Amino acid sequence: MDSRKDLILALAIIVLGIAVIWIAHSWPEPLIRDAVGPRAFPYGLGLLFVVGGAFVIVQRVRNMNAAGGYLLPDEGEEEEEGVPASGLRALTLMGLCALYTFALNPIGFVIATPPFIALSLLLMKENKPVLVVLTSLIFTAVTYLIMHTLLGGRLPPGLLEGMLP
Amino acid sequence: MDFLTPLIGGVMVLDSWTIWLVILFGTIIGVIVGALPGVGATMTYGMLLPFTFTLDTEIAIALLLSISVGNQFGNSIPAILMGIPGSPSAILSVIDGYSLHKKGESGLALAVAWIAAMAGQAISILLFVMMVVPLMAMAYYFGQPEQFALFLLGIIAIASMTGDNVVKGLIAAGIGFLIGIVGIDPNSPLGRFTFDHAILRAGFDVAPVMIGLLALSELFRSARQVFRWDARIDTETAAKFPALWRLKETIWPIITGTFIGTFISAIPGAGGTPSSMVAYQQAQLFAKRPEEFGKGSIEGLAANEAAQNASNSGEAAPALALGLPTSGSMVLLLAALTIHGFVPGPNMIRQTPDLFYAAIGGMLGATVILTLSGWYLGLGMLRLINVNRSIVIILSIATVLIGVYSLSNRIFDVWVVLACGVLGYYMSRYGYSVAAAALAVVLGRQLERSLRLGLNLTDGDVVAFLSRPYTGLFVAVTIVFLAIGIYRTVQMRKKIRAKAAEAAAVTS
Repeated sequence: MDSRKDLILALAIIVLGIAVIWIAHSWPEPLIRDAVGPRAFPYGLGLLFVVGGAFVIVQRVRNMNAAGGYLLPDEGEEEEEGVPASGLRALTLMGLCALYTFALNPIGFVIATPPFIALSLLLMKENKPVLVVLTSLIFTAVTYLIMHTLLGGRLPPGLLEGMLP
Repeated sequence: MDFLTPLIGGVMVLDSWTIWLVILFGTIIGVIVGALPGVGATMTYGMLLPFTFTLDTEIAIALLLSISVGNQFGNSIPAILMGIPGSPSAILSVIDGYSLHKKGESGLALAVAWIAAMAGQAISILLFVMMVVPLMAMAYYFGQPEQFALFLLGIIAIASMTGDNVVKGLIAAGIGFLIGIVGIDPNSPLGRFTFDHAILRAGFDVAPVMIGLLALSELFRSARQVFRWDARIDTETAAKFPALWRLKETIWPIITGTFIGTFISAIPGAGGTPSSMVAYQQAQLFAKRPEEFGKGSIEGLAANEAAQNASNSGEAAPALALGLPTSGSMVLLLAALTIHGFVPGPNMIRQTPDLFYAAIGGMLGATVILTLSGWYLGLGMLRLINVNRSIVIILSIATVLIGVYSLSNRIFDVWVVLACGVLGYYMSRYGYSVAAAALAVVLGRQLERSLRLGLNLTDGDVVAFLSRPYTGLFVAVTIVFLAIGIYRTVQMRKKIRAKAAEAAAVTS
């Protein structure tokens, strides 16, 4: 684990804690009598984030000093051994999902889904064009049929409004 | 309620072809996802949960629990035949099951896994009823203080037990609370963290948040690595069912494994993996041939398999009886119930016993299906290892996004699931327990409400609030869990320091 990233995350948690306390402080006093009040929980959470984040930072710095470097044993989920992992790939996939979500309403499910799946498969190093195209099209068609005929749901029609069954 | 009524109620649930078809579908899906390494019950719950909205509540519960039953059997198949556990709870199946396979005893290993899974599941349903009925009776005495202490216990237990660092576990639970309290304050008309956006005034729907934190995050994490499961294994095997006398020595380990699996998995923060480990260790203590453990012991395999399936019943008991889930899949089960308008808590099944009967019916039906088809399903699953992992991951992500959209036809929900997926990804990468965060989202709002209503009733007197018998008991157990979490964190720090010193000595 790269401790520097863990430190940045802990700092972000402290900032979140301060923001939570700040926002909660701006709320008006409740008109109804309340032993605890609406601010107490957010104050507690803010305090937990500030103190907890600071604790993680101190813990990390001490461990880094003891280890003589920033690489420490993982605290998170383990991965498959012997297979290189790419954070950039996961991040790009998240970006593709965000683009898909943006496109879903204006373009519609039927048009937006095949390119999303095809690009995601290419990102996962799936380079057989026939497999990529067929998977994208079949998934889109099957999902559309299941949602519309079996479950009676409505997927965003987008540009094909009024043209789909 | 007596013990017989729920069993009869459970059998009565199975009175239509529709429910049998749903359970058959759930069991087969469960076995398939169990056999696929990296795709577990929690992820499957996440994918199917939005679609359960269209089903009757009882059918939805039966479907979800039948997936768990199939999953705990399915995860052992690749463990035995390929040395790859389908999910973490099958890790011990690799040790003895794969050793048996290498000795040419694949049939024996698969038969033990199948029979132990079936028997463990069937017996544990009786134990499930025996646990839930008294818990339901206990719920009569639950007021706001007891409910607060119970929910606090559940969240602290998961925060303490599901990671190596209790502080990160507590921060994770805090993040879950924060997501949960967005919206109108439960005791006043004040909007909290709504930033004057109308859509935030009702708060976040539980289902998209849960699916994002528990399922989508895991899919993003899986996408970090590109590899094929079938690249290094021989999927050809010829397994024959062994002579029955060879299975005689598994009877006792199955019984003890079932009891251990049921009761340990009911402890908040424990779940299927620790319970199967304890069952395995206990079986070794009383085994006829303890020296065979780790080298192909059918006693060890039987205890572990029985405990894994029994954990389905154990995990469901506190989730349904008290509204206190002890695993990711049970958090999602409660999320499914919230979609159907139920409020998780100690009074849920007391007021709606049909939910209890549906759970029994679902597990019972899945056990029957596993009994009739488990052996052939097991052998058939071998071919699944040829399934392209990248396609599974990408299509699962697309299913999650579309499934969440279909819940309320709102793009906002898709953004929520995506944001929670990204949040969960980073949390699990850096050791912040997503299970604790997810549980805090489900229970946080009610926990705050119970505390505030309870303290209003005692006129703000904290001592009166905490000194009620059950409340005091739950708070004491919470402190014990917190102490265990602190101890584990200290041990982890010592381990890190020792490793660091070792590495420094090598470089110098």
